[in-house]
Amino acid sequence: MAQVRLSRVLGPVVGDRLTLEVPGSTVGEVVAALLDELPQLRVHLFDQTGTLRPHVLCVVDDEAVRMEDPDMAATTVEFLHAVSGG
Amino acid sequence: MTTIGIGTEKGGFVLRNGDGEWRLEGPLFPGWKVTAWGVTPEGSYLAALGSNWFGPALHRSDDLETWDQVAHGPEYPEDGPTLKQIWTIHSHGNSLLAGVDEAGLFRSHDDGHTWEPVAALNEHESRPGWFPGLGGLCAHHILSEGDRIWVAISAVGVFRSDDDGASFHRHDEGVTPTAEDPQPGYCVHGLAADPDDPDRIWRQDHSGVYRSTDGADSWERIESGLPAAFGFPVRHDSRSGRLFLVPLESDGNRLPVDGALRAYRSDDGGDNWMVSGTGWNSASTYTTVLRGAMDTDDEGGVFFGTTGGDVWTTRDSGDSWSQVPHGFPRILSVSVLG
Repeated sequence: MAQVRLSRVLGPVVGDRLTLEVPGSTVGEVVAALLDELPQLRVHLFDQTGTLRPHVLCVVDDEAVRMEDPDMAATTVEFLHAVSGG
Repeated sequence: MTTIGIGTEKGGFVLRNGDGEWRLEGPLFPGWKVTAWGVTPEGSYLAALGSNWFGPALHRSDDLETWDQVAHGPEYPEDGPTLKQIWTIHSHGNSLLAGVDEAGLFRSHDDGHTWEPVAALNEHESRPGWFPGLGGLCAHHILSEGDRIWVAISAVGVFRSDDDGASFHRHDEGVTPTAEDPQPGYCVHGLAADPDDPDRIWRQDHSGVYRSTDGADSWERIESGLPAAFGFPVRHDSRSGRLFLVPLESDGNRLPVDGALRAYRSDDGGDNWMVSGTGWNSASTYTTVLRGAMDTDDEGGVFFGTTGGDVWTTRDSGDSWSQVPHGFPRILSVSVLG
């Protein structure tokens, strides 16, 4: 199992499920499980090609990644929004 | 009871007026832009959400209080353009149409639960020559009557289908283009039609204000009495037959002329324009009205919101105006919801 933490901005999308446990031990498995659990997140985190949106930050075990390696080991995965805007 | 959706840069709001007083509900969707509103054929509500960080999506409600994201909203195919924003939601018979940035059209035949791209527009032969303007490359206004559909695309022009969306053709004859290369670009900002005569269409364009009396086959300038011909929305009130728009000084200075924020109206189909009624602030007001931020209820109610967060209303077809006593973030969309 891995823990997923989501930006509070995603509250209108996922309700109070901003922190959840999902099965998986790699980034690819965790994200697949997350999108099974909350399929409405897909269009917000990824574009239609499956690429992480440019202003979304993915942090895997305290390391910021662009999800190039789906086999990367993961115990916590955070999806944050960039510090930008007014 | 009048119900108005106010979409802002920082959430959505609902204004209700049943007894002369505006009651405010919200904010909805904190942290999200609300770029458009719609009412489905079965009476549910739709709100289009956008974000600086996350992807756009439609949300749906039966009561304007509890909202759920539409599971299969507008989405381009993997090898298609990028969906950046949903700009407008339009009822077309028993179906719904949505205009988006990057410019395209989506349609729902099941009350807004699922959406499919309209290939005749999204894959139009002229598409390689489409380029965005300052506001993006967006399909922002849709009109329809019977099997005819008009779509306004910023920096490109007006497209019309005569076969319920199976094909689209460009209709900008008489309009001054804002770009010549690689093909003429016509920067339409707003469209309004006369429901009693759908061939009569009014167009607030980057280059001026126009009217068509032949369903957009041709356009003529109608700017007599306006302090400036630039602006964004144009609306038609069915009860009075009056037209409304908000002139701005120029494309290079998108503010009310001399700081006098006023709606202008025409009582004669656009031949002549004048300041619409009374009630306006005497103090200077340097704000703008965006293209999606004005709507009518076709019963004498006209409503618009500004980038400064003010909402102005008239209930007597523009004879008198008043300001809603609430302040909002930058207003992107104003829609009559009931």
